[in-house]
Amino acid sequence: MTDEDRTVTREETMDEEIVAYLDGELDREAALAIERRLADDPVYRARLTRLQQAWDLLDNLGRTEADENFTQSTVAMVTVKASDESTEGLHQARRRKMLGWAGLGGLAVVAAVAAFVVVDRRLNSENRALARDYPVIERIDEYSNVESVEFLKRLQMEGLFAAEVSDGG
Amino acid sequence: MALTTEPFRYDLHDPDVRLMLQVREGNAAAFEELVLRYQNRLLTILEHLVGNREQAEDLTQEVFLRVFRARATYQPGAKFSTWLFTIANNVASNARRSYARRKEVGVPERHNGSDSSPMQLDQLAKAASGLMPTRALDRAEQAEMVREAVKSLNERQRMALLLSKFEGMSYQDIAETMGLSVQAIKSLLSRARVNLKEILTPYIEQGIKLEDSPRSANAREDDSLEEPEE
Repeated sequence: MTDEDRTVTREETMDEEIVAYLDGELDREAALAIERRLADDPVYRARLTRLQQAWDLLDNLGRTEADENFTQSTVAMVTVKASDESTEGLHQARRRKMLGWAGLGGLAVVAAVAAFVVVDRRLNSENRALARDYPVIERIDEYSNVESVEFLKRLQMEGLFAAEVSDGG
Repeated sequence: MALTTEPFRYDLHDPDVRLMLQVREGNAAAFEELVLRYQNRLLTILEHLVGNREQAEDLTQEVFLRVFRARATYQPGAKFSTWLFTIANNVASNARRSYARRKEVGVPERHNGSDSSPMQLDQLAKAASGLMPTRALDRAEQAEMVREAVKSLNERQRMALLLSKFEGMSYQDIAETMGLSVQAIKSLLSRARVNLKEILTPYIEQGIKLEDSPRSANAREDDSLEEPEE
């Protein structure tokens, strides 16, 4: 659709005003303007008459009357459906609750496993440190007699521990 | 002095709002009363909107079901009738969409002997043979003609027209019901009435049948170009 198609023509604006006048939707000033034009312009007057005639023909459509049982059947249908939906809602709520508990249980298991892994790793790391330091611990008394680390390093540089190193000690 | 704008108290001005508030409190009799008050009004609008009595009844019941479902959260923010016809408008639009989908997948259209169906051939033949009184024929023919003319409008024009004609709604209320601006409703109603005039003018002037009028065949197509802008 081009913009030209959407342009409201003067004729359309005029029809809008006439219809709004017929529907009583204009303010007093606008209504008076329409009435003045109606008095002076026979074409305008004919247009309004045609629109009014077509509108009056809608009276032929008539109003629909519900059957005798319609009210009762509507109320019954609504009550039954609403009750079904409410029961289904309760079931859903129960299912959601159960799922919630199951989720919480799952979380507790995951937390327990995670705690176990963390504690286990921490304990194992202490053991690993003990195992690593075992040769030192074994000779701690001898090492305690050494005055300083610098002294030991000098002895090592002079090759005093070469045999022990090659033994993997 | 400071001016405060109090929200409009629909419960004080609209007895149907008060009934709905009773429904919210669990009063079943109040709901039945609302069904009684509005069933014919809804049926009238919906039957002329969808052109089928049986479907109009189904849709009316669907509207009341939605009203009942919404009872717990109901807050009176509009006239009850405006709220109700907003629901009706949504229900009818949904029905039209699902009907369009069914049509796409080839589900056959439901037919019934509804009052709103066009005059049957045997009735017309009977009328032509003079067995039907002339006065009755005139009225039936006229009603059929107008029904066909209304059917040829697009759905939004039809809804606005029916709310204006049968409910006597103001432009403001129709705008609220259909979720459009007041200016859009002004244009919509104007185009609907101009289209009606053009379709029915030959009939008004000379009693020509609708199918003889070239305007009626083109009305729906023209209307699709004339949707009001929001």
